[in-house]
Amino acid sequence: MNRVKAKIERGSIGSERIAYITTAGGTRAEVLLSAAQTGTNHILAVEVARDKNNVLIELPQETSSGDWRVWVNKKQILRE
Amino acid sequence: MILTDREIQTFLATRQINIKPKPDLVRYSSTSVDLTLAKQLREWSFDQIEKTRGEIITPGPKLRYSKFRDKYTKKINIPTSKGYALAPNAFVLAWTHETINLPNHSRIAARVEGKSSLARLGLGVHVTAPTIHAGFEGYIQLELCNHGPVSIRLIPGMPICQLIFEMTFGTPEKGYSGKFLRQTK
Repeated sequence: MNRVKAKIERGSIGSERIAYITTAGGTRAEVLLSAAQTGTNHILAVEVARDKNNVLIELPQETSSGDWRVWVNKKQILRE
Repeated sequence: MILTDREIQTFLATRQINIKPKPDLVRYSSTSVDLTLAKQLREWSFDQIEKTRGEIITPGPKLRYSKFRDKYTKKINIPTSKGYALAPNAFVLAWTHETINLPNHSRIAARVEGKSSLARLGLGVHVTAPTIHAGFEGYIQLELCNHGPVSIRLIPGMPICQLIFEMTFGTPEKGYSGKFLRQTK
């Protein structure tokens, strides 16, 4: 399990969080998560592949644009 | 038993599942793979429906679906840039961009299901017929319906549905006949 840097906002119900993750392509992926899947500045995600600069992560939920997996720059990974 | 991403990729590599074009790594989740929307869809021809108001379809052996479809729907090529705005309560027939083949002997069947990101907007992708049977080959037809209050823009190539693969308990009868039909001593 990896901690991936994200901007976290409160969601519409108590345990809901809205996470914004910057992808390797520079876009911002939005995903609705439970509080247990997030920290103050990160989300929990699983690495599934890696290349020279980027890591492919699988998110705990599908993003608003329909992706379960997004490439992020490896600098976005806070702890492995 | 549902196949995980690793098993799906193994089955693709050994051609026990065939998906063309092959999905990119980002199209997988732990237990499914996304398929994308093709450029063509069929929308209802309301002029024709108005002309034949009162007609009742009788499902059964006398129904010629292809004639029914050609009479009541028209083919649309979705503009890549503008997309197709699916109005609230609208229902169209669409297809996946990818073709699927599940060889009988693979002992694999699948289900096509919606994606939560689109479901939250109100988009349904099938009308109670999600099963992709062992032996299936072709594009997957989608019955897209907007159950939400706001129009949804459909763009060719967008992830539109997901496939969940399941192993069958045994080999279907037709799998045996296909596999061993020309076997000689």
